[in-house]
Amino acid sequence: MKLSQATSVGNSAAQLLLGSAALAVVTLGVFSLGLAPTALAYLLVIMAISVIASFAVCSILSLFATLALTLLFAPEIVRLRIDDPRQIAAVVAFFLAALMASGVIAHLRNEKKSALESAAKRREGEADLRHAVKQWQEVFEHNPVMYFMVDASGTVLNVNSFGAAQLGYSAAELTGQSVLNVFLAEDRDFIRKQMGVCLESVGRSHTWEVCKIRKDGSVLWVRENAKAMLRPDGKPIVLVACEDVTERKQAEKKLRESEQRFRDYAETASDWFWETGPDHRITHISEHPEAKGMAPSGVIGLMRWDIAPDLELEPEKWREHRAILDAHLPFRDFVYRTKDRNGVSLYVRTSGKPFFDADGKFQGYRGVSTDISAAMRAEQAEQALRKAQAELAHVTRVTTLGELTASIAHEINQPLAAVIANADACISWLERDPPDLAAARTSVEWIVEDGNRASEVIRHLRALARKTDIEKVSLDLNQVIGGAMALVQREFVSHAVAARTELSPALPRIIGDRIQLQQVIINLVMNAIEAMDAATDRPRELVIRSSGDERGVLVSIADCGIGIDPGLAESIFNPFFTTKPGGMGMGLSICRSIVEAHGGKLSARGNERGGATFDITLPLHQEDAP
Amino acid sequence: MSAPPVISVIDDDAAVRAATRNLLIARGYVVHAFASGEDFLLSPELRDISCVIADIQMPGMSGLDLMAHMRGNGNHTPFIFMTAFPDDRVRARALKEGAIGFLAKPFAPLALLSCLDQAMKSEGGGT
Repeated sequence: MKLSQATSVGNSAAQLLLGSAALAVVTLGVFSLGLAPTALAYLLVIMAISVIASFAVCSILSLFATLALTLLFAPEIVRLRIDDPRQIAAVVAFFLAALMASGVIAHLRNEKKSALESAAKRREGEADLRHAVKQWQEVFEHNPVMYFMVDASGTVLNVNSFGAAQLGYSAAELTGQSVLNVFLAEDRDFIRKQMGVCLESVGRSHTWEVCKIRKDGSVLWVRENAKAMLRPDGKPIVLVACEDVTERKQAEKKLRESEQRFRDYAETASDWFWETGPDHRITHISEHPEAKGMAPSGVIGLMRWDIAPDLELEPEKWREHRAILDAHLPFRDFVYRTKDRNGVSLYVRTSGKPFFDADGKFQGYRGVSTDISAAMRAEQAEQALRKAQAELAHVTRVTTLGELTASIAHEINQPLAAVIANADACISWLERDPPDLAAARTSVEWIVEDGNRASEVIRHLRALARKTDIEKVSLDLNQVIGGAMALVQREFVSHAVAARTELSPALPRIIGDRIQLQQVIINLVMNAIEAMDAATDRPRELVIRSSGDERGVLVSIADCGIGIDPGLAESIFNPFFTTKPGGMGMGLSICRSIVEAHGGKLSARGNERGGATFDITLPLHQEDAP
Repeated sequence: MSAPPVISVIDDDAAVRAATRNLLIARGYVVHAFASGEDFLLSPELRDISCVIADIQMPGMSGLDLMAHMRGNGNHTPFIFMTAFPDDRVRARALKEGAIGFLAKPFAPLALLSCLDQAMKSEGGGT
């Protein structure tokens, strides 16, 4: 600013100097011609200077010229008189004319200057405008948004090339056509309506989503933002900006389908879904008509163990479950008891997996629960049935043994009665005087016959034991022992016998008849229990052991009963041998027959510390048997 | 000594029937043996019998049926039963209905003879 002022002062000084010099030159040139030519020449010089110099400079020069005229033409001034006022007036007129000429020229100069300046400014503004228009044109054309300009009748006035290209057209192809051409037939009424709404509310923008159809017939989803405006001529147009939302729509559709799918699953399943928070409190539980009355209600905010009546009954189960939850591990098929919304006890099987937020922070569990009360009740019923069957089998077996005993008794007692009667008769015949030897002899012959008959019965029974109902299959003898133990459990209790098993975990399987071998074991166990009845001075203990190798399997039944006389260890297996007051002495004989029918051996030995041990050895394969 | 008492032995088991008859004959009794109650009832000796020794279990008429039948006809001949199926209820019923003895097979000969003695006494002292 100061610099420009200084420059201006410098310029004015130079102009003043130049003007003064010009006046001096003119003075020398025209002085001799007199006042009037000199004044005219001064005026011309000042006017010429005023073309380039400011009004102030010209005013000073005018003053200089006036003074010069006054001084140069002094004689006239000396002679100035009232009677010569014309010369004074001429000088004053000169001064005023010089000032006016300078002012007019300065004004003209200023006008011209500002005219030039404004012309320059206008040129600059026009360039800016052209640039801005070009820029906006580019934005309009290439912004990745489809722009449409539509008139009130729906004709496309303008469309950007991006918009046209998105629809497979060129801008020229769309311009002048109805905008409805790029919509599906069924959507055209909707578009007409929306356009109407825009035109009714000029200046307000409206948004909607609709399908557009490309030139090739394919369809895309767009979100349209439209607004009507009035052109300068007062005609309304609608500006539409739209973006392709096909991907979002498809994603939404997939999401909706997925949601619907899971909702369908959830609603058709008899299961219900739950969610728990980071503190394991229930935050959500699915509700649907099928599950009504089934899923527990009013449990939001509670923890699973708050609603489980079996918490106190099975603390270990719950302790393990909570450890899993605290470790944020998934769990499967956890079964617990709870109550439904009617207070009816139900069994629930549940599985869940933890879920975490984006930062990996534990948020809780989500899972599924199923009412398995029916299955549990069925299982309990089945267990009861199995127990009943086992008891029935026990009864049946005892009955069978009883019937067998009665049958054996009858078959043996008949010849036995005959033997005794004939023997008695024989004695009587011999005691006669004289002895009737012939009758005695006949009696003895009958005794032999009766004896033979009795042994025939035994042979028959043994054969029966070998072949009846034998069904040989691959067996785990440990299971057979387990079954037998279950059947005689009541006997252990009622006879105060402590029974235990020491079973080899890797027992080879054998081929045999489960029922027969179980009968052998039951028989031996029952014998052992009876043998211990007399033992009041020591604990009644019974041990069943199993062991095996590549040749066979050994099952030992050891008691601490009355034991076996070493001399009788073999004869106890003979038919009719018994030490029991009510015994028929057939049990061990039949047991041995059964074991031998399996290719095995049954033997007995006395224990060192009292009691007896019965050993059953069975070969792995029947053909190995002698 | 009067005529030897006549005993009837009724048993479906031939060996037992023969042996019992043998035992009694050796002791001096007169014995008629029958394989069934029906055979016995048809025999002409029915009236002269001092004692009946009968098996309980027989095909057709059982020992108890036979006794009931004879009692029904006013015959009070003493009965001794034998059985290979000793059953307390059957024993009780037999004794209640008037049997002298109830012997389980195989029976001791002395037990049979003792029952017979008792039967002879009741027969002698009876009607």
